[in-house]
Amino acid sequence: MNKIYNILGCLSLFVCLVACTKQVTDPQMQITKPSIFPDYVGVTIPADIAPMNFSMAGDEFECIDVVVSGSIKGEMHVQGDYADFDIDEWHELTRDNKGGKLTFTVSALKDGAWLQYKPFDMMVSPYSLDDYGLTYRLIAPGYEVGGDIGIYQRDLHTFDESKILHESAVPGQCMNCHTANRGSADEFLIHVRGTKGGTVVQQNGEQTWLNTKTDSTKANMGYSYWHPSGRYIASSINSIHQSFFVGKDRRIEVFDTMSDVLVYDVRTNQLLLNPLLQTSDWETYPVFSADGKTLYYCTSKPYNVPAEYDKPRYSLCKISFDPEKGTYGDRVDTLLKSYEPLGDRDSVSYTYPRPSYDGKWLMYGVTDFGNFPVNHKEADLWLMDLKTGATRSLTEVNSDDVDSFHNWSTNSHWFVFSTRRSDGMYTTLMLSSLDDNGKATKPFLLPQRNPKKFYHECLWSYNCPDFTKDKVKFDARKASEKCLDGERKQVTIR
Amino acid sequence: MLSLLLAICIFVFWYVFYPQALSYQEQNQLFLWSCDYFVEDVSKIGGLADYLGEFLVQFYYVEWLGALVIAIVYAIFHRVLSGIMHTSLALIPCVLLLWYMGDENVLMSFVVAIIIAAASYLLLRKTSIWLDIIVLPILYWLIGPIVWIYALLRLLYHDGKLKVNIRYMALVAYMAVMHIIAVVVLLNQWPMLSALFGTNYYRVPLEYPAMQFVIPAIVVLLPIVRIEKKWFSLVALLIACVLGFCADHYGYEKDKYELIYQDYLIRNGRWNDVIKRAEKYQVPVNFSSESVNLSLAMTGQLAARMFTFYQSGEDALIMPRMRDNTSNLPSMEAFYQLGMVNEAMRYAFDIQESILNGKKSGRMMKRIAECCIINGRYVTAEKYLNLLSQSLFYKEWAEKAKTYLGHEEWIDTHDQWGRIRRMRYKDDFLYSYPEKHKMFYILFNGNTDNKMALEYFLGQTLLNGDTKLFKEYLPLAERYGGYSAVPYGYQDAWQCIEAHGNLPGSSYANYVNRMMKTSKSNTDGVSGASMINH
Repeated sequence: MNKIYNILGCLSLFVCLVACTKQVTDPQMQITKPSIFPDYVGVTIPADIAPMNFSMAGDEFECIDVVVSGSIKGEMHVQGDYADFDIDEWHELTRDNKGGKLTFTVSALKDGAWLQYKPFDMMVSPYSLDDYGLTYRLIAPGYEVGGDIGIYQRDLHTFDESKILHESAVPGQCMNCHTANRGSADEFLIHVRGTKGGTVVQQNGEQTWLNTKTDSTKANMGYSYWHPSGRYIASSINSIHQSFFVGKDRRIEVFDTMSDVLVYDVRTNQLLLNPLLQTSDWETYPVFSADGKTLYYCTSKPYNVPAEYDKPRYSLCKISFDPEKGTYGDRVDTLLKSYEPLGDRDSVSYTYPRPSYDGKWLMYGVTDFGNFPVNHKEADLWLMDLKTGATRSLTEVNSDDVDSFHNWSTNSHWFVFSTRRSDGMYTTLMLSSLDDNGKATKPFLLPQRNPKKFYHECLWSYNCPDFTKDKVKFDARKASEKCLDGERKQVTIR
Repeated sequence: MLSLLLAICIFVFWYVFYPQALSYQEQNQLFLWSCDYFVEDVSKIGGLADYLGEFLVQFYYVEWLGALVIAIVYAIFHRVLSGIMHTSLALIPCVLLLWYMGDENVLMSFVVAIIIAAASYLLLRKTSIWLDIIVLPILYWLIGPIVWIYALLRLLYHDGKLKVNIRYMALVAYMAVMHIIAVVVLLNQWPMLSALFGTNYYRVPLEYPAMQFVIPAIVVLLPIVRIEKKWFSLVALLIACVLGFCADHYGYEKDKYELIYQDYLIRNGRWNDVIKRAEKYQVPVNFSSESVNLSLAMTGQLAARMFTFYQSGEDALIMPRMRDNTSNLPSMEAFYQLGMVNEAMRYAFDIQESILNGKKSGRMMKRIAECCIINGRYVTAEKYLNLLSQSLFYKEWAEKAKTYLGHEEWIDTHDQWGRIRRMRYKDDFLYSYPEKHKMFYILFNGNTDNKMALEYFLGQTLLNGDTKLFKEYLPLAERYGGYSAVPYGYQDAWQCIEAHGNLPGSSYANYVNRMMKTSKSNTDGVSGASMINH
């Protein structure tokens, strides 16, 4: 069906191209770089990324003409309502200029006259992005109803998007993040919530539907993370609630009324508990280190929420984990203390830690309070050097609006994160690369065939993005049957 | 002639008796005049039927036009069926369809699909079987599993007579194989039965009403009946008339359509009509209480008359969030009129997302855009307005609304948006449904011109049975209500409280006593006497 859509899209594009093929004659030279959407000026891209199509930001232009020159080799020329690059030619150009740059000369037709802008550059990173693409959840940025929700995957090298699991397969149920083991296409889990809720774990093409709530644990598994060996899944168990603001600037606050951390042993179907992780405090967002020997998580003192919704502040902690025995260490270390000042703030909240797979970095979110950054305008991404413990705000990528929920590419040189910088309501995805010194590049918005039209009309928020090495193969029909029949494998406590 | 008569009856039926049903259908979709919308629809199995169905339903925005569209559709349906069966008999499936359409979740795509299937048979019945090798998959893609009507008609009838041709069995087998392949390969994001029976004929997933099968079966089987005598034709007409009576009597649930009517009137700001209808008959549920209370408030009668109408309980002014596309409509409207902009937007958003076939709602999107404009979220508002601009009936409004974006002064002086801006909360805090009386009070306290918030606050204290609070804050009504005398409703409540609930003829006493009885029966022995709480 997507192919049909693409063919029809190409046809309409052909019509547009026919309608706009003009010579750029006597252009008026502008002293500024063009204002384009998306803002791809100065961004760094991987070779073989999908074409970075763009439009003039304003609506007053009749036609756009773009000449792209590679610093090493090659050139492309497109003209139309928007810059729409041929995929194969684009790939060739980016491959030929890996480690170099592409220079874009943009001319735009306005009121019958061509305006030619100062050229801008787009760097082609020396770091490749070999993963197939991204997985994410598309959901209307609503309140309590998931609606036409679905988990999707997108080929980062083209514009192909396909469903992994859509609400239509499990009517009336909501689904949470697709959580893969280091971008594996065949080792992942999905939580389904609702009357037919459960957790589906897929390994080696086999789906196992679990009931993860036990008499000893107060809720189902929530935010999860795979152990690199694939044997364990660290997870929080949360009682998640949301309240709604009455004022004009904020909409929603999401909070826990309890949360603990545990590890699920996939092989034995057992939950591994530890009193240090099931305290009266709130523990959440557990993740394993790259070597699988440390478990990072966030923790806060409990408060009377929602009345004290702005009180919880989460510290970032770690505890050792022995993957051979499935046991924890006996000491918790606090890496980042929420109650210590950060910049001009007396205290902050640290959330959603994500270690890079090469073991060098830990990226996490910083907000004023709480543990759900996507509703916090001040939410920013920070980076810790795991060797030195030094931390800094990723100012290269942060914006004035929400920047949160990030994940690493499998080679740890790229990361994806969600942001609300475009309109404050709809989350979009941005990608950036990180060099060996921890310096990030200006991020770029996930490319679309006609990005201006797409993003301006898109009624979806992109949620919980992650990279996937290959295209995910998931039997949605089987999932539908398993989900609706309600049979679940009950996890036990070790 | 019979088709014309049918069309006239259908027009009168919808326009005079069920205009609210048209409004309901229209508000559960947003048809866009864009290439993308068309491509998105027809790229799905059954998508053309969807597209045409939604195209037709958009005209329901104007009641007479909507009724005319349905009348024409029925006339076409009858004409097409008359080509494959006797014209009198053809009335029977039409009337059954009318019966079925009493279910508000039946989608127009079902009707369109049947018409296309039957019309295709009519058009292609004399063509070679080999053509069906191409026609069947195309038709299946365009209209979905209803294509079986076409396949079975081809199998069963030749030269206008029942004659099963064995060669056509192969065609049916071909269709079956194709159908199964599509279900397994292309529709794997649907449960098996949904994929088999069609994903786009009924709004509620996993529900397959009997009529969805009965009507196609009748269309396929009725041509067997040969009418050779005039009296037989009259019998067919009589059957159609009886079915027509049954359709109206059993197909259109009175209370459900009364509630939909209330919402239709509220949508059009016909507050007095809501009250007039409620004076004659009121469905005893919270939806109705909220609708009437909102209408009373909008006409300045809430303080005086609230308890002369049915009050469902503590939820009679505002309902908690319900996960469907209808229940929260009056609450959403009340929030908006009160100036509780975020709550109005939240309810509108969730109502829209609760439309079970994943469609957007023109009405809700318009309201969300308004909330965004009032709250100064112009970029987001523009996104919705741009989409609404691609529709036929919201376009003019959306284009005008776009001119307001960023113009604070214009919005401040806009009749509705300006008023709501002045009425909305001044401070930011978390909404609490159990404490909604406090929410109303804080809203009023932020702007004492917000008389509606004051009346909702006092009304809520009475609904809660919190008479102490009511008495404490009643002076506010005297001071800020703008009444020449204390409204009857407040006087009545006051006297009832003073008389410890023992005040014969008192509307509030009736409410209290009813609540006490309900509470007693619900709590099995726990006293409800605390309802009147000094």
